[in-house]
Amino acid sequence: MNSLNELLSSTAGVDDITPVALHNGRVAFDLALADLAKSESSAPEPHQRPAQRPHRRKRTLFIGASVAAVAAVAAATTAIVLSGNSPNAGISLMAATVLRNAGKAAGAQQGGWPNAAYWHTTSVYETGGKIYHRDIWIAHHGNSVLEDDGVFGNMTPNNLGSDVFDVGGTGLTWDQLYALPTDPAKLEPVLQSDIKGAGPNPTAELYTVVGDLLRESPAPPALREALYEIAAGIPGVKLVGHYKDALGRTGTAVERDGETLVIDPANGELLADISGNPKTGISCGGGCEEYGAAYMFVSGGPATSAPVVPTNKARPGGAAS
Amino acid sequence: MTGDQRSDGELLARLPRQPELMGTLYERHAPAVFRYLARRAGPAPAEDLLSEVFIAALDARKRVVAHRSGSALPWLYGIAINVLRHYFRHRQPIWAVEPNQVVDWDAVDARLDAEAQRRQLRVALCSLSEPDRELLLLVAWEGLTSSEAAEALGISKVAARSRLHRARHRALQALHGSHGLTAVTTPVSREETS
Repeated sequence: MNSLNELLSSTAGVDDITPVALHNGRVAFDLALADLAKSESSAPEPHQRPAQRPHRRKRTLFIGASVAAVAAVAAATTAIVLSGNSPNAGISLMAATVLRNAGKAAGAQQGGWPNAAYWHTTSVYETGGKIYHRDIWIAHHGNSVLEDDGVFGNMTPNNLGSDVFDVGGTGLTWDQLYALPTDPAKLEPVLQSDIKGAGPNPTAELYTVVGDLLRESPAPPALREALYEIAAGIPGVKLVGHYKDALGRTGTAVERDGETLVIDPANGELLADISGNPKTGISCGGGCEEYGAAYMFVSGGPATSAPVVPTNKARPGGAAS
Repeated sequence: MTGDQRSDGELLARLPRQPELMGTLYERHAPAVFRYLARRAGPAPAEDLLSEVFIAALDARKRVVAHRSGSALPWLYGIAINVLRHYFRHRQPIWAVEPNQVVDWDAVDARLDAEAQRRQLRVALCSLSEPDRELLLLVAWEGLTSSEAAEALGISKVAARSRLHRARHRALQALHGSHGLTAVTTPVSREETS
């Protein structure tokens, strides 16, 4: 028979920390300490005006309005503007550390695809409590191709037309993406300039742009590292912590104004991004409902070709391809 | 072990202006903080969360007041509680999380041999509110005095003693009811035995 005391005593014993884990923890702490010294030596950015959710220009949303399955797309589209009230705190030391470490890991990866024909991304996303599959082939030249059963109702290839990478109010071609500076100090003013007033405010939009250029993008490792470094300096970005996505993968999540990015700290890959609650809709009046969305990126890489689009498939703009 | 011979209290007093002293506190207390985390979340998450506790402590250093015991551990445990809450809240999808969870029962079960013991401990601890359970565990698992546990939880010493008494009583009642126990002992904090 066990007393409470015995039960508690028998569960008190755990193995001691290993020397390797102790060392790793110290390294992570020392990085944060170094960042603290750096951030305290520079003046903090003034607080932004009250939070508005950034309007993200996911490709899903971009193409959605003009295809047949408008209703399904509307659910995904409106997810991006769910209201949120997170305050604009200053720069979070923990979030900055996570982002900088992710940048270092991303920058250490092999790659750079300035001459690839396509960038193929496979993802799964949840919105309105339903799961959808998505494959996109972004063309270096010519037409991009999308298969998305949340947009089209099935996985038939559809023609997207020529495509660009959004930076606020500017669309960059593949070659222009590769011409971006990879020094964060030089890249940030370029991005700020390209924002051209898009988004609720420049700071919120910069966070959105970083996310946009990390997902479904052939951005090379050095550019990804610079993007993470810029994100580390954006006020209001907070560390969420460990996060397990619906595919069972664990990453580290950071969040700003309800936009959550889940990062694999081992290689800096973007595992997921989440806006609001993808399961439950919120009434937006007049019978419409807004849903959150959780995108989980399964794979991304260069491709030499894309699926052939049936000749009767309309382009998103309405014209037959 | 660090070569810095100053007491925790001296280090904490200097911490607001000398954040690098957190490194000394890491050397001294990281193993204890790791055990705290491992008891509640399991060893693998504890490895990941350890640095987060000390990084969060960096953020919180300007508000620290040394406990009269002189140890920095109550303060660090208080920060670790918040880090654990954050961890448990976000390791699952945000919309499906039990609020204020700070114990992974599977990790606790792994340290008990018999199924019956597991059930008994769960019954006893689940009969308590989260703050009362944490108070009991800080005393029973971490060996804090009720006064030190009070600091970790941000409550008064008087409230801690009262709540600890209540927690023991309630846990014993639950245990008794679950297994017909007739004679039980309960964990007593160090200061109560002195």
